[in-house]
Amino acid sequence: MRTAARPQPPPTEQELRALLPELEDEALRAALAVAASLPDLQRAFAERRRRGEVSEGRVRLRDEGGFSARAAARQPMVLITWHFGLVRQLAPGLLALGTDLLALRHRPAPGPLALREEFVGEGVGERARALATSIAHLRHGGSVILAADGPGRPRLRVPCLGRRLGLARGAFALSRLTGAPVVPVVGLARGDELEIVVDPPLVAPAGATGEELERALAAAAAAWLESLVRRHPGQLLHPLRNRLLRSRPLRAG
Amino acid sequence: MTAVVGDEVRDTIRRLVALRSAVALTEADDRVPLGARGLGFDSVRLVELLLDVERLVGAPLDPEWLADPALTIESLAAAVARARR
Repeated sequence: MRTAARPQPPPTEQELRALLPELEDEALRAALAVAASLPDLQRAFAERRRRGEVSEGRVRLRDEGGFSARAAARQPMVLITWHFGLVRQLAPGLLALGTDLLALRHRPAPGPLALREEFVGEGVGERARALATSIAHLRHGGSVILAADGPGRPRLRVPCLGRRLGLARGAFALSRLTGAPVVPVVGLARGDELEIVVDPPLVAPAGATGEELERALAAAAAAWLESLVRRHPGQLLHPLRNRLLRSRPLRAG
Repeated sequence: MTAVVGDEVRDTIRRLVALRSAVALTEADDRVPLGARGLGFDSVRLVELLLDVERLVGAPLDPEWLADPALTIESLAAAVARARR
């Protein structure tokens, strides 16, 4: 049985100023207003889904990097996202757009029964099984979606918003092992609509291999996140917000 | 004949594990868990090992094998031998 999602506390003014000290007052007020509207919007989407209502009319895709063509050609992709915006509606939204999707999760979340999920457990073996299942799905031309800021033990420390953000290797290891590109995707609240924004694949330096490749992809993912937070600070959700606030500042110089 | 095939598979898997862990292994290590309580393989290294073994047998293998916290060289070799029958 799918459990109901708990509402997440919106960011406070203090938190946003700690992460974005240069944020101007007007932008801060706008961000806090968006943040305050997110819980109701999340509940509305969840309720529509619970009633079995089709939500395509409230879902639109902004494809900035050839995602639709790739998906239509069954070219595998490792879709990474963050605890940002309407994250719980992202996988169902992509599914509604016809994406052959496997969602890696750490815990059950409300969603369509048609969504294939693989739960990442606590143990090394369970995590390995989830990765291996993902590889099999990618090999068949499907795509895998996972959060880059999931609760797995962070192994890669990369710069983000002047801090050292810890990320789990999973998405980047999947890309290295299969050759599937890492494609960043986010579900943004736009009024009462979900806008799925898919950006171009992340780029690593030519010739990078092994852990160097994973680290380069992680750094690119963190740079993309930083850009996202600067543009939409009000949609930064609780787990990621906390992780950023607890991350050590980069040393000056 | 089955025992010889089983020994070959186990020896090969032991060599693959040794390569991935960069330590020399003997038959005595065949019952040491590959994960955190033994040889210390993390999830990515376990998957890399599975991919190595898949290339060895020429077919995809069941990801469920990796979930066993007591996965060892011996148990993995036995699973491979069963899958090949």
